Parts: sequence; C-alpha cells; structure tokens
Amino acid sequence: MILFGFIFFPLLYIIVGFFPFPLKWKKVLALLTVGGNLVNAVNLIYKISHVGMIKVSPGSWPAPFGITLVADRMSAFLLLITAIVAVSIVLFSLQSVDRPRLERGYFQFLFGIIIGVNGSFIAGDLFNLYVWFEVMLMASFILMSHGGEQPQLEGAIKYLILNLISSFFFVAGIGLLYGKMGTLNLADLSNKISQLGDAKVILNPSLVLIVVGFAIKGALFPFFFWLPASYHTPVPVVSALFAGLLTKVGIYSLIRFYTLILYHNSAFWNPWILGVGTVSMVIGVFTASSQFDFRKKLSFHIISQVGYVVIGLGFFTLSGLAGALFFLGHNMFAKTNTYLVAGWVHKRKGTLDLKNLGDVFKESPVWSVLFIISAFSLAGLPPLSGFIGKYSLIKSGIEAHHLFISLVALFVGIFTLFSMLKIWIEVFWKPVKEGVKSFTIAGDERLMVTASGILALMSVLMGIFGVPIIDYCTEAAADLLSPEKYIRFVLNV
Amino acid sequence: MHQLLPYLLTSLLVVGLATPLLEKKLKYRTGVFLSVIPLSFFLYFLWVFTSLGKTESLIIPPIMELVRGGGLSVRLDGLSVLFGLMVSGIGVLVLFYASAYMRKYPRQGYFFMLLTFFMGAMLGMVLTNNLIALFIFWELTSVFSFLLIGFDNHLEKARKAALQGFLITAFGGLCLLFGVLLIGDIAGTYEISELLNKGELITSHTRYPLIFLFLVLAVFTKSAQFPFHFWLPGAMNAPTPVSAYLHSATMVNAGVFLLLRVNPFIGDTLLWDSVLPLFGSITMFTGALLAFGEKDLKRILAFTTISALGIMVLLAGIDTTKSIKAALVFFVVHGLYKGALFMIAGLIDKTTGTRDIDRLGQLWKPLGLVSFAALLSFFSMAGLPPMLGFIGKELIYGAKMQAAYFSNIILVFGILSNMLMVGISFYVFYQVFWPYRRVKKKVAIDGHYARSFLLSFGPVILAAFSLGLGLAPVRIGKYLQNAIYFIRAEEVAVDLGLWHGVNAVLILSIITVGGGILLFIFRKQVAFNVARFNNWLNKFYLPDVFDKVIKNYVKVASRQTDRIQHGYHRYYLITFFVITSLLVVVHLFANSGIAPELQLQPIKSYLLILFIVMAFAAGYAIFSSSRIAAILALGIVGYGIGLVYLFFGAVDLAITQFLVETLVMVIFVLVIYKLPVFAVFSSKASRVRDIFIALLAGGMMGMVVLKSNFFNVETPISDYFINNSLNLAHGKNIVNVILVDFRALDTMGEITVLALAAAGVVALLRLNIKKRENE
Repeated sequence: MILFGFIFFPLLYIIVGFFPFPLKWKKVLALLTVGGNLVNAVNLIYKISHVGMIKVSPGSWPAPFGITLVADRMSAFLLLITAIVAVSIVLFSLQSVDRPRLERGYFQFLFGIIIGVNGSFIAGDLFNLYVWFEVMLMASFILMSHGGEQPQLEGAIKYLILNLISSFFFVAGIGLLYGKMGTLNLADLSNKISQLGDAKVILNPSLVLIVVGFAIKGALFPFFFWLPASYHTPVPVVSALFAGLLTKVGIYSLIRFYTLILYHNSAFWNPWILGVGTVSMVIGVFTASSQFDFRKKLSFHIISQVGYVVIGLGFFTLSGLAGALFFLGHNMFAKTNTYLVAGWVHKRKGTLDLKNLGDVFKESPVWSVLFIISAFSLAGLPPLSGFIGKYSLIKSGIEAHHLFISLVALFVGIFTLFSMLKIWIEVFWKPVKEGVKSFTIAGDERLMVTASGILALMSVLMGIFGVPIIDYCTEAAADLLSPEKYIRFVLNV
Repeated sequence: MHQLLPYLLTSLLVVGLATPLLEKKLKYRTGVFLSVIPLSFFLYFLWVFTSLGKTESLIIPPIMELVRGGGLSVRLDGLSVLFGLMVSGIGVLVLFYASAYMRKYPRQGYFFMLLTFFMGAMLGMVLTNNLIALFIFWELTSVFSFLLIGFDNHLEKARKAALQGFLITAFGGLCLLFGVLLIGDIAGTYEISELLNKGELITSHTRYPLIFLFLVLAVFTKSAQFPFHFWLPGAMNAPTPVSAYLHSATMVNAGVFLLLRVNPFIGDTLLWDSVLPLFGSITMFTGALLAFGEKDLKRILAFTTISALGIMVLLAGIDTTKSIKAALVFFVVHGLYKGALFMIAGLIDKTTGTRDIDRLGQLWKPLGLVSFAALLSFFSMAGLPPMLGFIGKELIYGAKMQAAYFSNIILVFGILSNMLMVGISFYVFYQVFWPYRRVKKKVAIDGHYARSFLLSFGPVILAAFSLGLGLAPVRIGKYLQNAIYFIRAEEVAVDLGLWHGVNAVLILSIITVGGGILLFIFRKQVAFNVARFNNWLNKFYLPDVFDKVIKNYVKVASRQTDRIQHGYHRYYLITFFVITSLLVVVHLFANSGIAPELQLQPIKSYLLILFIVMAFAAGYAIFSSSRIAAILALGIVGYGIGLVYLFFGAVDLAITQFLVETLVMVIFVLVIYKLPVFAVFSSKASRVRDIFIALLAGGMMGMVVLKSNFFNVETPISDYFINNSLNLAHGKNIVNVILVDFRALDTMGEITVLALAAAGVVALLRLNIKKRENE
C-alpha cells in the first residue's frame, strides 16, 4: 500500500486544486501534501532497507498481466531524495512565485510533475512508465509556459516538440517490443529475452528507439538540445524543479532498462553507453564555459553531470553502479539548490546576466554560503557530497580498467570548478558595474532560506555520511546486478 | 590524550564557525584569543616528542571515514611533528600579527574564520596517516587559500589571482587524487603506515610512471615549481598575514611535505631521482634570478620563496639520507626567515604606505627592534653564520654533491642561485634599512604601526628562533632523526653544527658569499639587466598567458556552443531523426542473417486501392499551396487509416480514429483563418534535404514495423485478457476491461494528463503576465 501513497498524495492535491478554495488553504495543503509524501518516502526506505523490495499490483491482477508497481533500493533512494527536493521546492515557491501564478494552478502542475516522477521510479511496467512520462511532460510543459511571457513560450515550444519526439520513439519502441515479446512487464520482458538466445539481437531496433527516448529525456549527447534551449526561461524555482528531477528520471529509466533488458546484449550496448556518457560529460562543461547567464551556465552543466551517472552505468560494476546512484542523488540536491540561489538572485536583482550582477557576498553572506556549498559540491570538492560521488565513480573506473574515461571524468571536474568559480566571482565577489541600476525587492525570505538550507545541508550530510550512504547504494547496485532477484520477486516464480 | 587529537582537529571546525560571533565580542583581539589553539597544538607537539623514541611512530585510528578506507587516522612521527610545529608555531604568530594588521578591515570575523579553517586543514594534512584524508585536506587548503587570496574581493587583481591560484592548485589536487587512487588500486590500502613497506610493489608496477606523473603534477602545482610557479606571486594579493603564513609554513610547503611523505614508497626510482632534481634546479635558479628584477618587497619575497621551494624539491629528489636531512632543515630555515620577512614587509607597508624598495630607505632607526629582526632574517636567507640558514646551506651543498644525475650542473646552479640569494638579501636590506643610504625623498612614517607590539612580535620571535637554532641546532636533531628513519628507513645520528672544519662545503660557502657580495656591489647593473630581462619575459608573462588561454578557451567554447546549440529548431529535429533512423537502419541490416524471412501475402484489391488513394492524398498535401486543401488531404489519409482498422476488425480503434480525425480537422479549419497568408520560406535545397530525411525516418519506421510483424516468440499477455475478461473481470468488451480494470492505473495516468492539460489551457489563456523589462 505504501507505494500507492506516492501517487495518491500528489493526485489528491491535483483533484482538490480544481475546487475554488482560498489561496491560503491551497498553500497549506500543498505543504501538507509534500510533507505526507516525505513521511511516506522515509517510511519506504526504512522498510526497504529491511526487506529489499516491495511491490503492489493495482486491481490485484497478477504480474505480468496487470500493472505492477515495484520499489527496490534504488527506487526508494530516489523517491526519498525527490520527496526532500519537493519539500524545499514548495517552500521556496511559497515566497518566490507571484500571486497570479499561484492562483492559476501552479501547485497542481507542480504536483503533476511529482506524480510523474514518483510513478516513474516505481513503475514495473514499460507502458506504465510511458504514462508517467506523459504526465510529467504535460505538467512540465504547462509550468514552463505558465505565465505566458514571451521567452517562456519560445523555450516551451522547443521543449515540448523535442520531448514529444522522445515520447514518440519511446511508445513506438514499446509497441514494437510488445509485438515481438507479447509482454510489457519489465521483469517478464527480461525473463523472456534471456530465453531467446542469439535471436535477441532481433530486438535491437526496437530497443534503440526506447533508449533514444530515454536519452532525449535524460539530455544525453547528442539529444540534449531541448534542455539549454528551455531551462532558463520559466520562473526560477520551476527551473530548479526541472533541473533537479526531470533529466534524472530519464537517466533512472536508462539504468533500470539497462540492468534488466540491455545487459543481455551488453557487448553491443556497453561501448555506446560509455561513449555517450563520456562525450556528454565533456560537451556539458565545454558549452557551459561559454555562457554568461547564471541559469544557462547551470543548464549546460546538467548535461555533463548526467554524463557522469551514465559512465558509472557503463562501467557496470558494483562500485560503478553504486557511484552512479550516489551521484544521481547528490546531483538532485546540489543542482536544485544552485538553481534556487539563482532564483533568489533573480528576485533580488531582477537579472541573471553575470555581467550586470555583483556584490551579493557583501549583501547576503547567508545566500553566498548556501550557494558555495552546492557549487563546490557540484565541482566535487571534499568533504561535500559531490566529492564522494566523483570519487566513487573514478575509483570504480580505475578498478574496471577504464583509465581513460576515469581521467576524463577527473579533469571535467576542473572545468566544472571553473564555471562555478566564474559564477561565484561574477555574482558574489565582483562589485556591481557602475551605471547598472539595482533594484532590490525586500521581503520576507525565511521560507526561501529554509528551502535552500535544507538542500545545502543535504549536500553536506551526504558528504559526511558518505560511507553509510555509499554502502546503501552498493546494496542497491547489487540488486541491480542480479536481475534474476528482481524477476523472481515480481513474477513470484 | 593522543586519542583526542582527531577530535581536536574536528573541533577547529566548530571554533572556526564561531569566530564571526567571537569577533563581535572581542573585536580586534579575536586573533590573539584564537592563538590559544595553535599554541596548544604547538605545546602538544613538543610534548609528544618527549615520549616518542627515535624510531617510533604513533598511529591513532580514525574516528570516522568519509569514504571506505579513507579515514581520518593520525600519524605522529618526526616528519608530521616537525611540520606540525612549524604550522602551529607560525600560526600563533600569524594570528597575533593579523589581530593588529586586520584591525581596520571589514569582515574580520570572516577573515579569522577562514584563517582558522586554513590552519585546521594544514594541520590535518601533515598529521594524517591516510592518503585519501591527505588529499581531502590538501584540497581544503586550496579552497581556503582561494577565499583568503580573494579576501579583498572588490579588487579585480585579487579576484583574478584567487581564481588562478585555485584553478592551478585544484588541477594539482585532482592529479593527487588520481595518483592516490592508482596507489590504492595497486596496494589495496591508503594507510601510510601500511604503504611504507609496499614500495617495491608500487615502483615496479607498470602504472608506476603514471602514478609518478600525477603525484609530481600535484607537487609542482602546489609548491609552485616551474612551469606552474606563476600563481604564487599573484597570491600576495592576499592580506599580508595570509601571505606570511602561505609562504612560510603552509600551502606551498604542502607539496614538499607530500614528496617527503610518499618518498618511502614512491621514491628511489630513476624517474624520481632525475625529474625532481631537474625541475627543482630550474625553479631554484629562475626564482632567485627573477627576484632580483622586482621592486615590490612582497613580490621579491614571493620569488625567493619559489627559489626556496625549488631547493626543497631538488633535495627531496636527490633522495639520499643527507639530502632529506638538508630538505628538512631547510624547510625550518625557510619557514622562519620567510615568515619574519613577510611580516616585516607588511609592517613596512602599513608604516610607510609603500612596498617599493626604491622609495623606501633608512628604516633602521624608525623600526628599531624590527630592523634587527630583519637583519637576522636576511642573514639567514643569505645563509650566513651564525644563523640556522648557514647550517641549512652547508647541508644543501653537501647533498647536492651526492646527486645521482648531473650533480655538477646542479651544484653550479645551486651556487649561482645562492649567490643571487646573498646578493638579494644584502641589496634589499641596504635599500630598505641602511641608515646611510641617500634617498631622494624620505617616506612618511606612521609611528603607530612602527611601534605596534602585535605587529613586531612575530618577526622578532622568528628571527630569534633563526638565531637560536643556529647556535644550538641539536634541538631539532631528534625530530630529524625520527623523520629520516621513516623516510629513508635508516637510523642515523643527526649532528648539526655551525663548524665542521675546513672542507669542500665550507669553501663553496665562502665562494658563494664572495659572489653574493660582488652581485651586491654591482646591484644596480644586475637589477637593471634582470629587470630588462624580466620586461622581455613579461611578453610571456605567465599569469597573463594563463588568462589569455582561459579567454581563448571561452571564446572557442562560445563559438562551438553557437554551433552545437545553434537555436534552429529544424536542425535539432534533423539531428534527432537522422541519428535515430541511422542507428535503427544499421541494426536492421546488421542482423539480417538472424531475422526471419518476410512472409508476404497477396494484398486484397480494395486495400490496394485504399492505399493508392492515401498515397495520393499524402502527396497532394505536401505539394499543395493551399492550407485548406492540404488539411483536407491529410484528413483523407487519416480516414483511410481508420478504414484499414475497420477492414482488419478493430472496430474500437476505427471509431476512435474517425472521431479524432474529425475533431482535428474542425480545429484546424477554425485556426487556419487566423493564420497569415501561406508563404514558402525554405529554399529548394533544404526542401530536397527534408524529403530525404522524411523518407529515411518513415522508411525506418515502416521497415521496423514490417519486420516485427514476423517475429513473435511468445504468447502475448493479451491471451490472458481474452480468456479472463468475462469470467474474472465481468466485462464483455475486452478493450474496455483492459482500460478500466486490467490496466486501470495507465488510464488514471492518462486522465491526469488530460485534467492537467485542461487546467493548463485555462491557466494559459487567463494568465498573461506582461513581459518584464529585464527578461
């Protein structure tokens, strides 16, 4: 039942949101909803750490005939992180989003995204996963264009169309796969493919379509264009939400799909995954260096950071997958928080152009600290979470004899650092250029600080408690590496 | 007691965090108050050695691990205690000095917080017994020195220097991490005490050159070795207390410390014995030479630091017992005089408002005791008796003669560098302090600073140590003995003394001093020529070169980014479709051997007619110049598909298709009246290209579907639906049962999509926030 909660809580808000309650009620309700979601996620991870996997079949139709929702350690980990991120996003939204937007269903769409993300993390069925993708896409498209400012619409169109292609490839792949294999349940698919023998290469064209679908969602090279084209346009806190959650769902799906389906033919897929990951890492930092907009710089970095996760998947060892999972989680916190700080800067200064910003360190040491923690964490400096993630990935790369890729991952770090320092110097240290009018909107910021503080704290805690968390991720990775366990659990065989 | 040490180190973090609050209470006395911490560390280190034998080390297990195998375990031996003494001892003096120096600065609490963190990181680095922990502290020193160098963040040069220093040292840090990981991969441990006897294993491994390369890069960047030396002079943009600390005992000395730490298991190889002396010599000479051409007191000192670091790297590279001894002694020598001289430079800056040695002059009397401290420190820098510097220099000459490779060249370079050092020491002292030098315009003196107790305390104490240890060098002997035992695995009796009788080394010393005096006599010419050389060299001024490299990199990146993320939607689409189609097509052909044969059946004639009609309609839609006509033609295609469904018995699908098609047509027709007149914007070539892409993508899809049709290995789950929809789900229409029962969750998801879409449309129509000015 616990798994239903992840869909039930946000869905409840979406329904209630249609009723004309006063805004205050809606705000409180939104907080209660994310709170409930968080409690549920904590409960889940507690249970999962004892039993390993949990499943539920809506309608009680047995797998593989009905839909099965499955959570393993990886799902529970990501659900918890999503829940924490969601709490801080809602907190931040309360004080940073303008009233007209809040009144026009802002939280409904936000919970649309959360329901999609939660659903994706527990979907045990390929078509069900597609449905959650659709929910996410619709909600995110609306949030992106919500407010209807001109740059927003331009970004939103690109976002929508390129992501629709992803959906198209994905659903086409699902259809083809179903046509061949006659099943949609991931465990069942994996099981049946393993019995195919050499004939399984026949599935590759359909699998390519699905993987491309995931790669577009995950903003991997060469399918990332939609991300930098759109992420800097919506309300800053919405960018933060997107940056924290959306691409990660694509990457999660790729990991799940790889460890259940693609690994059957890893001789073919592995080099591709490694190559795509490596190029994404490099191209992300490279393009980010050239940006002079706070959010755009961060957007390009997302590409690089999903690249890290993908190489961890490509190593396909216990420590590699554990590192990838940890990195994924770390990135959700750190990335979201850097965007939140950008959101605050935007609210304060009315611009995010690095050239016209400055003096923030003098004006607000608190926000400077919040930024520098997350930024240095992204750059992989110890003892923050990014260091643990990067360390684990590089170490596992060396152990897997991928010396070159490990080196690339290592030195991409210096370019990440360069970008982060650039932001730090331009926004926080530099005095504001003369002649640039600065309009400072005062106002209560306590909720915003709390929101950002939670995430920064998470970056620190994930660093300090790196060992137990990595241990947990290693257990999760062990589950991923023995899919027969997953299959047996889901199919009851 | 020892067990408490890791906690003490961690508690520095708490103290550091509390300093901004402390500062509110204590004001400028914060520094003095904080100095209790390094002082207690200093006393602790002194005490530790009373109980530690000549060949003993003390290892304290970690209190926590940040990563598996990377715990903060502490190691107390001669090396760590010697470095610890210098870090904490000079730390005390720097905090004293900073209290007075920073008095007029804003954000003092923040400053002392950084300084405390920095000190903690440095102490952690020298004390740890774990390479991963060592790396972490190493990076932390880089982080905090970045924040300290950029403390005056309103100054552009400070920001630039901070960025430069951090990028270079962080690069080195990453190299260190990689090297450490490689070592761990081979040896299976990161604990230094366990690595000590695994030298054979590591140095004979095929990856050893790689390990060596990465460690050396780490050392060279941190310890400002040629060609990475250029960030160090920039680092003097930090407030002077920081420079004094950075140069004397911390930060740049970390590289030397690392060399000595890893020497037992990385050293003693051909690479080690040749590369390190080579770069060390170059750095030693370049630093000393360039120092002669500078006019800014702090810059001069910065270049002499580079030279001194070169000497230490060189000595670590020669890798004999004697050279290690020399390196350790010289580390102390250098720390003492460099700390004192930097503090004096800062004091002079505060007193007179300038650091230009041409403008300064006749400061002997006004500065009183400090002048004397300066004299002693310059003596130590020049390596003259009876200072500790003299002992250091003698040891260095002795060690250089032992170098395994090109010892003669090293010796000659060494003598030249030392001559330069002697010359500079005399030259600077003469310019700044000599009471009888004629100066055009006397500099104004702010007596308040000149007599400040807190400012002069540090240099005087350090100079006193330089002198005292020179006279009684046995005091540090036991630390050296223990350190050398663990570095060289040899038990040696260390006897340090000023007088060893007349020998080759003494003669070299005399030659050096003679040469130095000659340089001093011809100081004007030398300085002029070096300055000219410097000017020529400034064309390749490395900090600027570095800047330019970064600028160019950004430029290239932005050009390439414009090419990658060009903003043209159509090219994004082309990329997506072409790449995917090609990938799929390649697979289709690659696996054609295993793929089942196409079993084509004769097509029914009415279907054929239908297809021909649809094909014509599609073609018409493409070439029509009227929107309405194109949409109607597309409608024909859509209805045609519906008919195909119908022919094959999928009634539900057919009904849906007809409904959707009708709706779409109606909406299209309604919208079309609002659109501007139809016009063709694309060129012919691009349209031809688009045809091919469309054909490729369509053909790909068609082929995949066709092939899938002939490959059914399993009984589909739909059989279960057919068998059970009536008796278990009690529904006669299977499609409906699937939608609302078997896969109800999917349907709920899709309903959510629709609900959100509806709400979204309403929101979009009602909420039209005007474009803000700054967007």
